[in-house]
Amino acid sequence: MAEAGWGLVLALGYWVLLFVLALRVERQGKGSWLRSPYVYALSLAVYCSAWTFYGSIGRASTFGLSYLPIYLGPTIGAMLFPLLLRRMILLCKHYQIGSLADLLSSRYGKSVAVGSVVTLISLFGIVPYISLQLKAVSESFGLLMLESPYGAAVKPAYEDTAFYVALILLIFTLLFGTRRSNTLDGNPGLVSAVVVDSVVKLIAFLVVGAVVTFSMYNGPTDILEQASRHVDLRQLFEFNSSLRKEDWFWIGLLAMGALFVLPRQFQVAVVENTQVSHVDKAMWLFPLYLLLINVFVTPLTLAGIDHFGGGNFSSDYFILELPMSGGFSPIVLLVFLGGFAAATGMVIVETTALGNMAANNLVLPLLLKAGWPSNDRERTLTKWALFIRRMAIAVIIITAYLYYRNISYWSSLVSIGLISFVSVIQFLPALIGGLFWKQASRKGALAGMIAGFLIWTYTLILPSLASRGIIDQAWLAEGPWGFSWLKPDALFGLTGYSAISHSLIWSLTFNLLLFVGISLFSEQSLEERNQAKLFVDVQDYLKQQLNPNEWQGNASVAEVRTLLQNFMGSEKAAQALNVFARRNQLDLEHNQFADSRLLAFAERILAGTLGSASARILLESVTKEQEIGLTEVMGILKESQQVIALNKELVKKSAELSKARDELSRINEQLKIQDEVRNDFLSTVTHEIRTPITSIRALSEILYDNPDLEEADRQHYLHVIIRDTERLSRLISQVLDLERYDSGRQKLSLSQVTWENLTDECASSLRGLQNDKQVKLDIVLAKELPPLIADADKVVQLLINLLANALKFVPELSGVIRLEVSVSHRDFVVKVTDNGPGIPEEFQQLIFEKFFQTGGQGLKKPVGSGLGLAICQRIVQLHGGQIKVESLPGQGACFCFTLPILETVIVQ
Amino acid sequence: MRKVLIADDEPNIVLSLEFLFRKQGFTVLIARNGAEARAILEQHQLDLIVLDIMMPDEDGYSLCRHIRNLPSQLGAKVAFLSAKSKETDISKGLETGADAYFTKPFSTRTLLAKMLELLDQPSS
Repeated sequence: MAEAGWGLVLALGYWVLLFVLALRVERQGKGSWLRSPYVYALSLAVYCSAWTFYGSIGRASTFGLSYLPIYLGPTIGAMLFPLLLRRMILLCKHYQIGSLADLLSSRYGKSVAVGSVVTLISLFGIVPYISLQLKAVSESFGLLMLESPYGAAVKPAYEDTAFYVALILLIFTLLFGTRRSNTLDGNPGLVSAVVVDSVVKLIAFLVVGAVVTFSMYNGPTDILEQASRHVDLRQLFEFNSSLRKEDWFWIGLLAMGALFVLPRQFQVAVVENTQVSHVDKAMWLFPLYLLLINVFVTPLTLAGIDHFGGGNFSSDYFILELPMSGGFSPIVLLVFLGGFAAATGMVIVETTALGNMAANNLVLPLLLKAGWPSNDRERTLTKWALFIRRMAIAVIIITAYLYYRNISYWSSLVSIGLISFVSVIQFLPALIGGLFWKQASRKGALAGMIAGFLIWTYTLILPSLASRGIIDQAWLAEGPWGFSWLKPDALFGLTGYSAISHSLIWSLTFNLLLFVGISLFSEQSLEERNQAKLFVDVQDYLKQQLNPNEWQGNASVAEVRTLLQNFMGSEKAAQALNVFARRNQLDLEHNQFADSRLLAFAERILAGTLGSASARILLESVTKEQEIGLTEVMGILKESQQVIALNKELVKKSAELSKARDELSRINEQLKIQDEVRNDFLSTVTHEIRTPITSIRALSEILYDNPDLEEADRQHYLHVIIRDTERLSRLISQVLDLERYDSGRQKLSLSQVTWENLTDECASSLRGLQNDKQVKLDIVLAKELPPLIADADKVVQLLINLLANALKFVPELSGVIRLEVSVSHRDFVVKVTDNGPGIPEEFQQLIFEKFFQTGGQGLKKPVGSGLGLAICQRIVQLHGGQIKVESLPGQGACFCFTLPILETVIVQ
Repeated sequence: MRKVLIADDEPNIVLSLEFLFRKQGFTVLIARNGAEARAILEQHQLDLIVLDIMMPDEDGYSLCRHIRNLPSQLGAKVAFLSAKSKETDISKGLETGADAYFTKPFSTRTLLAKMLELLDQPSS
């Protein structure tokens, strides 16, 4: 009882020491003594929990050397540190990964499902393990009070040591395991406590081992001799029937794997790692520690057997009972402290790790997906994350305590420890596959882990429930519904293995088969493929300083800023953004859109505290980045179809274009023709103008140079000059006229005239020509012609043109020209007929063209200036009538035009 | 006495040319179209032929080519006198075998001087 009192004092004193130490370390900050490879190796020794401390001797006393693989496994595992652990540390530091659940979630496409499954399996597997620590502490304390560890009824909580132990460990974990929001910042206080724990438990074990071996006995040989009197040592220490050779392999494998997937190992080895290079020293320091802590296992076991062989003491506590029986009180207390330290270290690290996982990979993603806490401005997300983490830790320790009271209380330490190992070992395929095999897929990992977990439950948990009477014993004995191949302890007829190996074989087999099989045959999402590349080729990415993530969405800098402010508070957010802007030489104040670097930066900040899946969800909420999944692929396919359609459209368009081009070239042709016509017109006009000018100039010069010219010649030349001058001015006015008609500037000045007046005027102006040629001009007007409403001057010009034209062609003396005016329908019909040579049919349409030339280029148009008929046609058209010519060669020509009969005068 | 043929459908121009050549002592023959010109070419051996290009029945180019195929007119100088003054017209005229190309309107003194100069050159 005195020892119990001392033990209580010691335990409380030890805790106070840890609190003070942890507080000091936290206050010191980063540059502390913790940044050393020895500290790192000692922190890894959190692997040796109270279960190790007490249980390995218990196991050795039952199964002989079978405790060895639990330490040989990790020793071999330590050789894999450079390959496996280094990579895990690199990944986690670089991608801000804070737990194993986060690592796997991130690797498999930042999957919430993977993170949740890992977390849930860990909780199911590890909570009993934590309860085991409570049990060890509680039972060892009970031993100090000389209580039998077995058979006693469960005490009420207020009398239960385990309750107070749980409470103090909870407080410690809350104080030192959740000081920082960013899980990657590490918990130096926590680590310092773990290191002290590791030192204490090692010293305790070595001291008790030495004392028992060399003080109670005379060395190892003495122990061996004494013990051999009680049991067949050969049976115990050779490979005997109680543990097959294969079990060595399986249990060794189990322990080796557990070194990488136990949450607490991940926490100390990866998250709390301060320098990657520490791994290299830990590679041999950690196995050394394992060796030291196991040196005295066999002597102590044998001594225990020698002392308590057939007694009712639990072999789990030989280490405590041996010094007690020898009366070594201080040693007893030291051993108690060692076990206590082992339990403390394990519980605080394990719950910290589990708390992170539960908060960041289970609760937060679900809350965020549900859109909560979206509009909470009072609490920043950081506070929420911390709060949830603390709640999770509390729930875990309370659950562990309840589990201890209801289940662990009844079982031995050994069984529960290995059962926990088998549960977390289910992460191993997904972890190793994820680190080295790009094709490892989310679906494969999920299926493997879930299958493994179900088989674990079926083969290890179900039998323990049956033994507690919770389910029917018949299940165990005959298999469910009598199917013996489904017997939980002999699945598919596999017998001869320990329950642990049996469960491990089947769970790992199915896990691996499903993981590899589904990964091979399932399609990875784009996000998964990206992450797979980043994880498997992490060295390359680190070397090239590539962005871990290509964010593609559209987020404004303001949105990212708001998100970070909401998350870490305005001040810190501004600080972080300033640092980022300086480092990347960006001007965030004036940049409107957040580029992928800023988004990746924000994601890393968020991931450190919230886990990668949650960070992803949050950032997606601002970037609205669309995940590329099947629908997107379909979208892309559709797009390419549209491109094809577009191509067809283009073909059509190009056909249209070529049509348009043809049209254009046609128009161009027309323009060319028009241009030619214009050029032709110009050159003809030029020619027509030059002809009179030529004669005028030549004759003028002759008159000037020859003053002695005969009077008759002089008169003749002067007459020609005058006539050609008239011709010239007429031509010029005709060209200008035509230009006015063609440009639409010619306006009609309408008035009312009678046909008699019009025809009289024409006749009188042509009389000279008519008389010259001695031809006849008949003017025939229909009776009661209505008056003409037209531009009288233009109509006169029109008639004179036609009549003069006719006059030119009719033969002298016998020529007859006839002008008829009649009414048909609502038109006047005017005909000018002659008995000249007529116009060949092919020319009849063309003679109204400007300067139409009846023949080759060098031939001359026979009719006057060539502009007369063109002007006639325009005058008729402007009045709203039509003009045409009818002619048979040799029988004269008949020009015929119409003018509409208008009823009112439009007075201008 | 030297003989000149003037083939031009514009009487007023012919009038001035006729006066100028007569004054220089030429025998002047006049054609108002291609047909008349061909008729004269049959009957007379000419020293100078002045051709207009645009005439009612035949253009001056074909008339020139015709002249160059006539053995009787080997010694004759052919000159175009036309209102067509474009480069293409001129080169086309010279390609048909003419010795000179003069444009209308013209200075009587210059034209006459060049015509006389042309007559003094040896035949090509």
